[in-house]
Amino acid sequence: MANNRNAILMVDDSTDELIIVKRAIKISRPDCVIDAVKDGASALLWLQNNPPPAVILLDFKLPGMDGTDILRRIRAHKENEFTPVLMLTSSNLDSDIMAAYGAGANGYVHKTYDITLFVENIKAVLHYWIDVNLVPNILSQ
Amino acid sequence: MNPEEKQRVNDYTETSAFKALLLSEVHEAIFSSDKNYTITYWNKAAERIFGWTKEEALGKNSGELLKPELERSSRDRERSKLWDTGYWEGEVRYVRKDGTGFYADVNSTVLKDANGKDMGQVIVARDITEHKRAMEELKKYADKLAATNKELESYSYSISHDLRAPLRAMKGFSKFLLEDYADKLDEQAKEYIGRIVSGSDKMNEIIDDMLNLSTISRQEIQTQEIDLSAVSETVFNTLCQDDPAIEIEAIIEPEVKICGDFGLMKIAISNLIGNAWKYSSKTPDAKIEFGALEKAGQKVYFVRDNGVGFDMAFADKLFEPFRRFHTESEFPGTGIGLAIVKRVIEKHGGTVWAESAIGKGATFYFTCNLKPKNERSGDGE
Repeated sequence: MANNRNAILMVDDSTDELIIVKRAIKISRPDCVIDAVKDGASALLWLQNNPPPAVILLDFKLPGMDGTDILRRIRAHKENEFTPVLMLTSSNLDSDIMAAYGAGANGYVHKTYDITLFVENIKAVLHYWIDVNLVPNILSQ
Repeated sequence: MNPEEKQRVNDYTETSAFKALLLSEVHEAIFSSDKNYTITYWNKAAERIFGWTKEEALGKNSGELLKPELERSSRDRERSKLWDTGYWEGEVRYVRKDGTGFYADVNSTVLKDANGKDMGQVIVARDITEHKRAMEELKKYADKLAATNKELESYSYSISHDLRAPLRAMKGFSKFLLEDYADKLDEQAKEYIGRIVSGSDKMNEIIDDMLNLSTISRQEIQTQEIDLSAVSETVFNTLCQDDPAIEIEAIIEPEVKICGDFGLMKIAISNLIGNAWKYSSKTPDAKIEFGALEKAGQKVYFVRDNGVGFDMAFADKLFEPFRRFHTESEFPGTGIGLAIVKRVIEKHGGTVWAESAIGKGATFYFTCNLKPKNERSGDGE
């Protein structure tokens, strides 16, 4: 089982957001498959049962465990120590951004009101984290 | 009072009986002690305030009897200040005869003999327990108020945030409809969807302004020298670039400088000049002026336009949030701009007001009373 370069895991409790991101990915990354879960427990379960995805898109404010809690737990597992995790959130508060990086996020994307801009941004970060950036293939070692 | 009467009164008030009466009846505790702090005089108020009678107090050591304590200093340190300078004042906590403590506002003066040698001191003490309690009560209310305000601000911040997510969905999905189903929608449907989009945009703008307003209230001011003329120029030029079809003349007095927070002042000037632009954009030969003048010894800054103006009857309502005096189609806006200006100016210790008449343009004046804290100390060195 190797890292899955085509899988994207999205953790967000909003169906609206999921549809928006799914549509963006369908247009810009038809090669990718997006799997979505609505909370931290389901996210951790998903990661247990699947090879590391190419990217994890993680919302900040979630019911139960919040984004940084989830992120710390993801990082605690060897298989996902280096999996790119991008926070995808409506908050652009400095304190939230710092907390995200502190917990081990690789990037922080603001859910801008301007959807067109947001879709462009999603496209750009996915291109970087999937096509440009290299992560160690932990599972093949 | 004729001269004889005056003399008679003076003769009486110079008697030791009268002076004794004054000392005895005055509301403040007055007592004296010698150089060794042995009490040598004790008035009636001292009996009442400390609970010790004159007989009990005289001849006792004041430190042992009254157990004075100072809040932020030692008794010895303050005593040496007294003997060095001849005078001391401050707040002292004493203990009454019954063991209860109280706070007193105290001043102490060194008494000297005919040769100028220190003889002892006279102390005047006023019980401020009630005053202190009232101040503490007041502080408690002030703290509570500050906490409530903070809560309210963070509440308005999170509300604004929570409003944005559903709004984003409204706008987003409307745009998706237009993009993904363009061939299935007729013109009417597209127009309706367009209205959803512009409604969302409008609300988004209001949320932005609300967030700005709450951010400005919470923000700490960082003072520096600001060239308001340059700021005005920049703001004006941006407006010209955004709207090249509109021709407005700018008359900006050069080198108008103030001390303030650059970011906040830029917001205020942007709003004032933005308003001037908006309300004179339909006026032929439109002019926007920025400058400073002197009013009653106070420097007053102004932004003036020759646009549509407003009825002075609304002058005091102008700066309330969400107050609008024009329809959206006449002049678009959220009605928060001037509330933001007011908050910025008030944060600078100034006031803002406006003068206008319908059809005669408007002038917005403001003052600023921030002193350059950091620079001032630098100048002195």
